[in-house]
Amino acid sequence: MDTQNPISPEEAFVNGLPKNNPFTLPPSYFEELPQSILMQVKGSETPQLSQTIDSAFEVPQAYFEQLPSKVIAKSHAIKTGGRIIRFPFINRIAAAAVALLAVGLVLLLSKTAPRSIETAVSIEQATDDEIFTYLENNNVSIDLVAEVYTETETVKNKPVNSAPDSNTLIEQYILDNADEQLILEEL
Amino acid sequence: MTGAAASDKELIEAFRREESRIQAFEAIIKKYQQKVYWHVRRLVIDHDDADDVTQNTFIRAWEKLDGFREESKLFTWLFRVATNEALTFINKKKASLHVNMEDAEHYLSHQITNGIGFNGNQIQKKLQLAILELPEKQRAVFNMRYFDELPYEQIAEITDTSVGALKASYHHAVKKIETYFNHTLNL
Repeated sequence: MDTQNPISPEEAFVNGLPKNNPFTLPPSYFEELPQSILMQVKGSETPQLSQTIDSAFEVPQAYFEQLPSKVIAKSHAIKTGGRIIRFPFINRIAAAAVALLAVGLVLLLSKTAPRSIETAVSIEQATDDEIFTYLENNNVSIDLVAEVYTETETVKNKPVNSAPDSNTLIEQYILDNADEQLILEEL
Repeated sequence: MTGAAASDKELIEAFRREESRIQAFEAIIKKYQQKVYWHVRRLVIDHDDADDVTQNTFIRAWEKLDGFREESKLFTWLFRVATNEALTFINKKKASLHVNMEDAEHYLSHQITNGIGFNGNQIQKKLQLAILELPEKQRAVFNMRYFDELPYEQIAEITDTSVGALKASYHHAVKKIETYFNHTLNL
């Protein structure tokens, strides 16, 4: 049993039950399994590039030699802080729309601001009223903006590593009173 | 360096070299086949099904191992693939048999009750039948915690769930198993 997460007294009932394996196996199963898998993966190996190039089409010289590094470079570009953030497609569109609107807002404020030597305006300087008026005039759903904002914040604040366990009374209270349906939905 | 004593890092490096790819993969299978198989077997119960899912898990690993980012342990990654494969398999099987959840669980419990691939005693039989009453994901969490004795943090990585939700889920599972034992005390 790992010492990091000892089984609590509330779980003692199952501690008294047998843990040994009651299932049976065909003889020599684990001796034969690796070969069985290897036979399948060898059969699915990617064919040589020379076999896949259709002679009717031309490719730039050394294209296939350079392709892997291009793909690797592109795959690195979508990583953020070692963690890939996958937004649902609709949210990507929404995020792009919000980004465009932000740029539009900055341009609008730049236009309406008094002409002076210091005309640089950033979105941080706009008041809430100015932002909402702009969004309203441009038929942007506040819900859409809120959804993108919330998701961004959630991802940003999500801890990568969970805090260490502590078997406190509060934790036990939460365990006892948590809505199981919600837990199952989260799983 | 693909012998039994090779570390995961060495095995992955060897896998990425074309000349040692097969040898390294065979070593990975030999190292983890039993853990993966038993994790799957406890979920799907039937040996032939467990064999299929285990093989699929390693074939999926063969396809995806090049992209393995080593942010988690190889074992954790394989368990994650195996869990997903097993849950997908169970759902597909239910759909293909056109049976509802109760019928599918009845089929699996029939195997245990009739000792098909099962030679445990009465308590072990009852424990497995009680586990079968749990929803699939909760069953997976219970098995990983109880039989594999994995820390919650590792199960959280495998299932992409918070530690809190896992603790609550395990807690509920234990209570359900206890209730099952109490209700079937005289059966």
